[in-house]
Amino acid sequence: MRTIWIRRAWLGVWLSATAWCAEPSVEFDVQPRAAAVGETVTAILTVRELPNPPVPDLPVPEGFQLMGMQPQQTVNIVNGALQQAVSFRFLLRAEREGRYTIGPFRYKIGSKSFDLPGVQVDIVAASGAATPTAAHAIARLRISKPTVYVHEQFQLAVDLLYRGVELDRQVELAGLPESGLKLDGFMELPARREVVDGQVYEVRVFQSTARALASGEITLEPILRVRAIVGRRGRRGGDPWSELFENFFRDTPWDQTERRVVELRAAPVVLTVRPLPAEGRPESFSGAVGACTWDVDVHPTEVTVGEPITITMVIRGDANLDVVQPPKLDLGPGFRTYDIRSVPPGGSSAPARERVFEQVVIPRDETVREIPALSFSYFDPEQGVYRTLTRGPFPLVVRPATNTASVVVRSTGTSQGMVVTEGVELRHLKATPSQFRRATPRTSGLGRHWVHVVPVLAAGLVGLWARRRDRRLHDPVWARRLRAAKRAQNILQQLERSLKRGEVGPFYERLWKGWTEYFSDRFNLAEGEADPSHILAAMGPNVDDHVRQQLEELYRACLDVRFAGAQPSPEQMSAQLDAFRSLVRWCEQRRVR
Amino acid sequence: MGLVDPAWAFDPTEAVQRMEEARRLYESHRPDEASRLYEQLIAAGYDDPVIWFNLGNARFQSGKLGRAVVAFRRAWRLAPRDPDIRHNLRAAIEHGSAVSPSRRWYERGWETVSAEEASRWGWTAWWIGWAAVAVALGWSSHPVRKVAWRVVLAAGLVAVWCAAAVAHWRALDAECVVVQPDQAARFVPLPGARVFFTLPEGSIVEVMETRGEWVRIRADTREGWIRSDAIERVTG
Repeated sequence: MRTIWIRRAWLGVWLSATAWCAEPSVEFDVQPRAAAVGETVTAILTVRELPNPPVPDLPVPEGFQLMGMQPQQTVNIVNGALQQAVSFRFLLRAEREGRYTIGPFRYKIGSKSFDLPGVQVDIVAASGAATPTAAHAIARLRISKPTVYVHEQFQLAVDLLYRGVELDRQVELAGLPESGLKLDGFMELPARREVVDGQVYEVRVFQSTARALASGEITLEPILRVRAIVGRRGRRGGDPWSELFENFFRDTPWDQTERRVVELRAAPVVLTVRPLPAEGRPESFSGAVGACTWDVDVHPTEVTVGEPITITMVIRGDANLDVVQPPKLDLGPGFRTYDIRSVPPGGSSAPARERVFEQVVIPRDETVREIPALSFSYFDPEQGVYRTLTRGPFPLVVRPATNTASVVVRSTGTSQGMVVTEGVELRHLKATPSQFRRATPRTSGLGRHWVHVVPVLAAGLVGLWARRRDRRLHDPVWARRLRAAKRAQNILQQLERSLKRGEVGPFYERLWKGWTEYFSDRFNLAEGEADPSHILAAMGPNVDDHVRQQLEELYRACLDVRFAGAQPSPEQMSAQLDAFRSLVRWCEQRRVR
Repeated sequence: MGLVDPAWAFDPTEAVQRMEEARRLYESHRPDEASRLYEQLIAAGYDDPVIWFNLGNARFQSGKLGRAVVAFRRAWRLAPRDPDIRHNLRAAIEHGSAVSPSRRWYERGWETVSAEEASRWGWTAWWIGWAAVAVALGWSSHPVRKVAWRVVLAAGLVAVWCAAAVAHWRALDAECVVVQPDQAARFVPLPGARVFFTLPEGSIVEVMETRGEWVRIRADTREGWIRSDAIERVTG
């Protein structure tokens, strides 16, 4: 709570300080300025930058009745600055028809007094009492001047007046000439009311700045196309929610309103365009039509030979500045001149009605003492004469050059300084890098690039591995053959260990297991088929006799021990192990099947 | 100012000091001494576009237009997208009304990257491409393999483009700059031969053939013989 009061106190102090610093101003207006008997108009007196102003004593004319007064305070913060205003809104009901003037009157605030002008208000009879045949919508063309010069700017306004009819906001403008007249684009001004033929009309004004491009007569007859709302389908009522509903669905398939396009043709207006007079046209005239001002700035004024001087020319005024050519400067042989350039406006705060031109010149030698007077001419359409503005001459101090003419010029358009050397603009030296690039010897052929073969080899190996993996998955015969060799190695090691230990039973059990697993995998046989006849059949026709003999003897020895209880000597076991090893080696070396 | 032996190999700290000294000399309108310092840095093994650019400025300030173009062109080869280098190279060439080779659109595309960048990017694409080949071959998932083959295609295109760019830069190794004013290009390599055309100082030409003291050059579309001491190779 205490914090809130402190904040309020600070706000009060701030408001008071701001109000004390700012200059108060007072405005007076009446809206609408046309009304029918029985309607209410509002006289608004606005006091800016003054807190708690006194209530004004508004003089109410005879035909009005004061219905009340509503004070209204507004506070805005614009760009960090506080703006406050107090408005007194007097509600005046029109009692009688006629033309009235509300005011003028004097408004006093302490020791200061403000003289406020009177505002004229037209009051007509109540609707339907007069001229019932008056049109409901009218288009009207207005031009600020009936006679203009070529390229002279003038205001062209198209008014849409309507009463007793509801119009769509969208308005289409047509019928203006497509050539010979340049329009800057139409802008809608605040709506107002106007009395025409004793009727009060709502007025929408569309205004543009125009310029005629050629002499002669131009007939202007614009057409306004508006859409009148003639009815509503299934209207829900006149409450605000219905209005909101209708606005939301406007121009959609759910739009409930019925519209009709109405073409309003304005009465034609003839614009007379006169050519610019040839007589008295100065040489420095570059096409500007309209009142202009011209400022020239020369900087710097103390230079060394070869250093650039910038001449900045600013043209301001209500003229055709967009087509104005830069003035031609004849500075004589003492200067080297660059092309003149147009400077774009420097931000939103820059005035819109101005053109800035810049020219860089360089004195050739130290004998140069000044930049001669510069002239700019424009045509004044109000007086019908050419006017010439002259600035200068501009004195210079030019020092002789000490060495080759070179200087760094800071340019706003580039991040780096420019060097003007012998009249050529070069970018200035670059800053020393944090790390220097060193020269690298170039190697011929693959050279140091041999390392880049590595990914090729790696990809090749991966490819081989993938191929082997896929074959193992899809070719079980091949997979068993691969497995057979590994198993044989394993079994042979186990058999050697059993032989060393003299374990007869386990030796022959392992030998039998090794026999079965190896030969069934090696020749893709079922485990029960691993007998000499199937194995020899799988080996094919080219089998050596000693292999055949070893195979049969080894098989028989295994059977004898396993089923007949034979007890072979260690020498026999060793010989049978060698025979098995020899068979495995023979099978692995000979690519049988 | 004590100038050191050009054979001296500066360490980076000393190189920075030399650069600053050269800048000071340049801004004091002593471009010849500044040029000498920059040239010593280059002779010591520094091949930096900033050094070449600054050397170009110093040479230009001392009126050596052709050698300034050599330095700017060399800087441009190392950093072809640098706007300052491009600007100064163009300004120097235009100042001397010199001839520079015209480029086709795809050659201008290659010249947006330096040879070193093209080489680095190309080899990177090469590695990525082969890695993607390995994935495409070794991976069992079909969607992954599909993506991998697309990467292979993209990397292959990049690698080919970069290889073409490197080849283009290699072809430009034959570039030379006319470093003497108004050199007559003749029909045959003889002093009294008929002059075909004249090359202003700073013109960039391509050396086609060398015969004794004469070289056959191509300047844009024309070919002629000029003396070999009138030109300087950009790549040194």
